[in-house]
Amino acid sequence: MTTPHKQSVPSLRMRMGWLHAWIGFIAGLLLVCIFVTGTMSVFDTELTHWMQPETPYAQPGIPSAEALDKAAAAVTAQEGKKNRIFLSLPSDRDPLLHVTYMDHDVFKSETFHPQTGQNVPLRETVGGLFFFSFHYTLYMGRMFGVIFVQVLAVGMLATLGSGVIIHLKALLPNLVAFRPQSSSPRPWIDAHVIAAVLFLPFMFMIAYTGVLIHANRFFPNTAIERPNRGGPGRNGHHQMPSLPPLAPLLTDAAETFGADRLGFIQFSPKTVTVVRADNTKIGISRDHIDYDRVTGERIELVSKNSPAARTSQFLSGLHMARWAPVPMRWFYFISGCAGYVMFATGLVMFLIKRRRTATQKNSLPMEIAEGLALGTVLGMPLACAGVLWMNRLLPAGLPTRVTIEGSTLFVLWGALTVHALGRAFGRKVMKGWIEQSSLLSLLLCLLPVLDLATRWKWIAGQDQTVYAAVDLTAVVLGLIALRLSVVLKRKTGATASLSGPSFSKEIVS
Amino acid sequence: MTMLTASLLLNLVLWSLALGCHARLQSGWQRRRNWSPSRLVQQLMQAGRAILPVLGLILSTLLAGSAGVIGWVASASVGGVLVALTDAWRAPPKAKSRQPSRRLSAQEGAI
Repeated sequence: MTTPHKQSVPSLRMRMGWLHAWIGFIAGLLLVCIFVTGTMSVFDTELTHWMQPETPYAQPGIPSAEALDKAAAAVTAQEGKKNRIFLSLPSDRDPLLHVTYMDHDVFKSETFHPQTGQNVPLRETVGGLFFFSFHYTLYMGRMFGVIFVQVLAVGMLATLGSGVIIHLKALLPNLVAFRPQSSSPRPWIDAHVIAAVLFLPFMFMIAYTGVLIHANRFFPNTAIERPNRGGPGRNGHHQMPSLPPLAPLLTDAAETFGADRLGFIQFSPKTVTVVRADNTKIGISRDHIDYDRVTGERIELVSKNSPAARTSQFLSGLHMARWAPVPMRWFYFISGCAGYVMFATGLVMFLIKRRRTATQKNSLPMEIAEGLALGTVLGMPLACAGVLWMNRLLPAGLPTRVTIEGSTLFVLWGALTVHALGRAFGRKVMKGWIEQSSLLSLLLCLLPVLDLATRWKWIAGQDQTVYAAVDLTAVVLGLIALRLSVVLKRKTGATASLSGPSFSKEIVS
Repeated sequence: MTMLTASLLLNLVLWSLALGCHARLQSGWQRRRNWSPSRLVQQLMQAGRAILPVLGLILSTLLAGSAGVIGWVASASVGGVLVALTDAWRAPPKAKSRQPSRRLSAQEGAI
């Protein structure tokens, strides 16, 4: 007598595999872009510095009274017509004095030398803050965009959790095993596992803190009410009293916070507020001292020290890394690159697997997926490099240069995605990968040439550290892209005799 | 050089050594390199794999406090990448191509 064949129940690992693959692919297409721009945002101030090649050398420290008077005059001139104005104080990362204000949702600033007080004419640019804004809003608005990015971060947490279950058995033995010489897909899996497992603490931390930073967007009723800083005057509907001398205020604040720990100054009709710098401790505490706007007398020191506030400050600080000195920032940068590698290799493996098991050779969803994967994995870094190129190629005095720089990212990204889709529909997606990786390597490797060619006028009186770091990083990343294009070319050449130049056949060689 | 920078560099070295020991203790690694360590060497590597990171954690906490602990975690990841890339660079020539292993198929299948 035969027993009836039991219907096989999928194991937890198989179920998690499905979740990992599909959530990972759908969320991963955008998380790649979020990781690229987030990684760049680690050095947002330095990128802004690079994008303003006129920036002169200045010693960081408390600005002179003369410089503060000139900055105060600029603040007064802007008050009454602008919404938010603040005065960024010099720091190690940015030694200049900036009066920054919002002009039609775009940050603009006037810059002063912190010692001489001279106005420093810098070109307008989207700067590193552009990548930072894209990172957490995708430029879809500060409410919807932030919520959307948070949903993607929750997707990332689900992908990470399911990924740990899938790879649990091979987690420890394969911790540092990378075998690029093995036959595909082993190198892809190795790169994926190394990037994900070695950086797992970072990945969990960055996704978890990313969700919690704006948790009040999910639960709007829990949003903390902002303190009343003067009501309607902030919108410029009534006369602001004149500012007191700022130098004594900074001297007083320096006694409380420390001379090198002053962040920025905010202004309201009743108060002038000196805020502690974010680089003083891990948590972004935003401790501040309020001064009377008319007399300049200290009103109070405001510091949120409740356990909930301190936890929130710590998590925000951990995510944004504003506390981190330069070496630690590089570790954040490398970890961000690992996040990009993890998602990029994950997308590629997803496509290889689907292409292998596809019932039809040419299915439209498959071709769209291949095009979109290429358009994001290589298209987004290319578009970011394009912004840097556009920044230096546009005339410095062009009035619309901020708009053009910002639009470059989206236009280029769109064009590259169309190119990728075209290659996918033409069943030549591998050619698309080779073309885009070659273009990326070209743009990145030639960035130092562009930098020197467009900065030679000011190069004599400048600190070269930031420029050299950006240029060298671009070259290293460009060489990695070049290596990718060479390897892909070689693999494509080796399988040229195979019929049907699909993604999987080309890459599985 | 700040204490945090010093602890980062120190941890990078300690983690690289520990993860290097970990890689060499794997049977797959030993088979690929055709290397069989003596019992004493194996015991030393096992001890190194466990002790070096703990030593790094203690030192970084003493040197840089909570920031040092974050640096300790971060340097583990970067140290691991360094070990993986170094091993890949110094890998022996590719063996004759064969069918993917069962483990590979299972891993890939799950994805």
